[in-house]
Amino acid sequence: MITVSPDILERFTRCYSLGAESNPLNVTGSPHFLRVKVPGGIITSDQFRRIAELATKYSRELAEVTDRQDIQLHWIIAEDALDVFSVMDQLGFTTDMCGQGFGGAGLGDPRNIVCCPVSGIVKGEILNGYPLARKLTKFFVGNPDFLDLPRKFKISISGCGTNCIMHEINDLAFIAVEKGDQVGFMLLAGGSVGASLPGPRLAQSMGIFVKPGDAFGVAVAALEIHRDYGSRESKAKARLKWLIEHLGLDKFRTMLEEKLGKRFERYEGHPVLEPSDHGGVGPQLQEGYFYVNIPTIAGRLTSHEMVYIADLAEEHGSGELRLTTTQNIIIPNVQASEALLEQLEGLGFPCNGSMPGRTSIGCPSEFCGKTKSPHAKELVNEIIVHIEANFNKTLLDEAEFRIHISGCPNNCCASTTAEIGLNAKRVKEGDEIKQTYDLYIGGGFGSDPSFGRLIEKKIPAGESKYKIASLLNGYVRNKNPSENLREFCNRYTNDELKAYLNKAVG
Amino acid sequence: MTYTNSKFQAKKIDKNRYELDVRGLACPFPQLIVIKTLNDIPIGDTLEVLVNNPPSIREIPPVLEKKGHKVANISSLDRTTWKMVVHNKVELALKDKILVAVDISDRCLETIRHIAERKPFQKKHLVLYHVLNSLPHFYWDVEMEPLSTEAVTQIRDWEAEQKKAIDKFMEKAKQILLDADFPEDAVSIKIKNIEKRIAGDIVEEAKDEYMAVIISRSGTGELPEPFLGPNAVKVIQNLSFVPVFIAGKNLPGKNILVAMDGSEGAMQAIDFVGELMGGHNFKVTLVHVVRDHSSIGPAPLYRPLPKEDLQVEEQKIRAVFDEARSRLINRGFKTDDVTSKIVTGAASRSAAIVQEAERCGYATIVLGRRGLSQSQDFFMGGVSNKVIQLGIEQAVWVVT
Repeated sequence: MITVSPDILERFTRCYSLGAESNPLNVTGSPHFLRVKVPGGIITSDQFRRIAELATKYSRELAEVTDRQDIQLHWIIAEDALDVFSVMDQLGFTTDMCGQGFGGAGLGDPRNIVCCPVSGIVKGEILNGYPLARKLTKFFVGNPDFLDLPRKFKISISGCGTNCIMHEINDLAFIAVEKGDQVGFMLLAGGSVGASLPGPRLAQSMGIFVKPGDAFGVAVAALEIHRDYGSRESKAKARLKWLIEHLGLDKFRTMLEEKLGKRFERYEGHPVLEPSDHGGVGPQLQEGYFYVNIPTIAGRLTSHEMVYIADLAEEHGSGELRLTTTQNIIIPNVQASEALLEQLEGLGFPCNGSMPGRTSIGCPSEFCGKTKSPHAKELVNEIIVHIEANFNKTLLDEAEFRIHISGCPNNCCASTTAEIGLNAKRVKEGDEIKQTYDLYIGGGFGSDPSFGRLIEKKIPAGESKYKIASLLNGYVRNKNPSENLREFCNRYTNDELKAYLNKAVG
Repeated sequence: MTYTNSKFQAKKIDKNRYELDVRGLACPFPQLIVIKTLNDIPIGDTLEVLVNNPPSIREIPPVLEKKGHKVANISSLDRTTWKMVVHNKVELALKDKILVAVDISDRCLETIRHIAERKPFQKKHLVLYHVLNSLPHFYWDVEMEPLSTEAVTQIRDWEAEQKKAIDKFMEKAKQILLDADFPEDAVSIKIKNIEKRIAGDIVEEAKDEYMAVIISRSGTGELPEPFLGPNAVKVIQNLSFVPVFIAGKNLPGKNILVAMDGSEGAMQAIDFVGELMGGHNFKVTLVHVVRDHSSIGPAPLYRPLPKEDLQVEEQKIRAVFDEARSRLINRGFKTDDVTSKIVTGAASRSAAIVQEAERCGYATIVLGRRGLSQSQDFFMGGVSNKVIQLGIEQAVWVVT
């Protein structure tokens, strides 16, 4: 029975919404999806269990960890929404608003603020970015001043000195750096890898040093500039990257300074960020404690697995979980990891897999109705299983690569930024529609972030794993010592790489 | 409307026409508010929805159609705004009529007051129906006789008086319903000159797609309580195609007793109660009466049933209870509000049902028209028939 009372409406309308219905012709299509925003990815085992309950009740016992540290539920029926929202309200979680569903620019909101998943616990951390993520989330959620941005706005914050959360794909990225004896943030702006205009862009350095105390004000001012000056002419031109393309970074910086009434210290260059996903078992800042990264297959979990993982976090850790942008889950504050690793292996999450196995991600394209089987997440699994069966872990770890698979040009899994990226394309052959993927090679972050190159178009989905294996074969045979896959690939032209993909090079 | 403080409420823009502006809202709120509004406005009325959430344009219509509303038109007002015109349950507007047989009697007024107590009926269209007893046919000839002019004039005066009285009575009855928050559009008055007989005319009218007929116990007959009036009896007999509610003496409370056996009729009764009363916080008790003897042969020869047989019967009926319970819960009854009971050791099922209702304070007894009773009357199940006769305190619903 639906009851809509004014207080419920007032409480929910600015904080909660359901994503659009997907393609009704797709049998796996989801009536509505719900993205539970988990600020900075930090969630208690209790909250995780409650979301598992929601998944059991409303989402066919399935949930997904997304690459923005959210938990996504599918198959939600609109009539159930208020029940689901009530539970989320109790848990203190909200959703993304559904501005994407509206025609034209407008009704964009700040997306889940991603943060290094081992903030506050990782050894050698420069700055704990999580408090800033919390403060900003608290400020923006339900804030009517920031619910009608020209389009969505993505913020990332990290203090660990590695590129664990793919800063360059965000509209605004705070990266902790040391400047002399000070710690603070350097700022990147204008990233977005989707097809919107002026085309895919990686966020660029603003060349400024933001003191921790100023960071909150900078983020709010940047959103205000986006809101007040961003183009509302069309959706395609409404991301911050379009504004920055037209204003120029210098002008954008000046506007920020004017808003804050102060000038920033300069911070030249791009910091050398070690690539890392905080995988495996890592020692914590807190002596004697470890964090354990549970690799999931493209973030997909059953509610039973969620409950089990929540139990494990209580048994072995402190009842806390952290979601990663590599669609994995970290159990922090573990003293003795062996027993935990054993139990995880028993549950089907062996933690001794390869780096690509751990870090590869896929979008939930079957729910959007954008792909035919194999869908993005299925394909991630298929490829990982194939390459882990054919190459040893040491080699795969040395190759240091991730596979990102997106189901459509919106590129929500940022496939063009991965060392190996696949972007779905459906091709009509006679009366049949076949699922193919475009293959990008050589993208990556680190000290020299770049997009991958489109090497081969419209590869039939089933062939992609063989092509990738063929490339890896070429890499094994022809790599220079201590060269990773990206460095290896960047030595070759597109045609040469295509030859590697097709076993033409021995 | 329950959300009067909200800006998302329907405005009446014309007779039977409302406008709802949900611009600025994202899923699922446009859908939730549209459905809520359609529940609130009278059945058969039209709602114009202004919406600027494109997914809503795609996904609300099928949901509404599924719920029995008709999306008549979707037009684009500008690039980002649409107007969706929805008829509120047109199909149901025809079917969701309840015929209330009215005569000028205190008893009938009492029935109207009982109806007024029933919140779920506010969502239906009540037709207060009276068959006007006018000049009997043989007077038509007499009228032509110059000698009988005086008598005819007297009869005509009487007719006019009758008409005036029934108009007044009907208005009074309608007012009782309006005072109880029944929407103005949900109550109509129909007065019809007699064609055949009163009972026959009521039955004829009932054939016009009514979902139920409500009659008063003493009806237009002159027999004293507790008997059913002769018209009421005839109406019940002949209304085998539609559920009949016979009003009781007691005010209808929140408790409903549904007499259950393993028959299809009993399950029909469950579905009917679910559809009509679901979501209004009514409490339902499913009662099954087990006779502890075999009834073959005359009463003195009744033999106690073996214990095992009783156990088997209990087991069977528990499965029926489970099915009935889930059907009710699916239609909006709360889990805790559906209970069940097996009454054992009864000599007569009908007497046991009525006793149970009296003892536990159920003001409404619901049963299927035809049960599994071995002795079936020519017009309805023996148990149903007897419950109607015995249960004078309660409202009895005989569901077809």
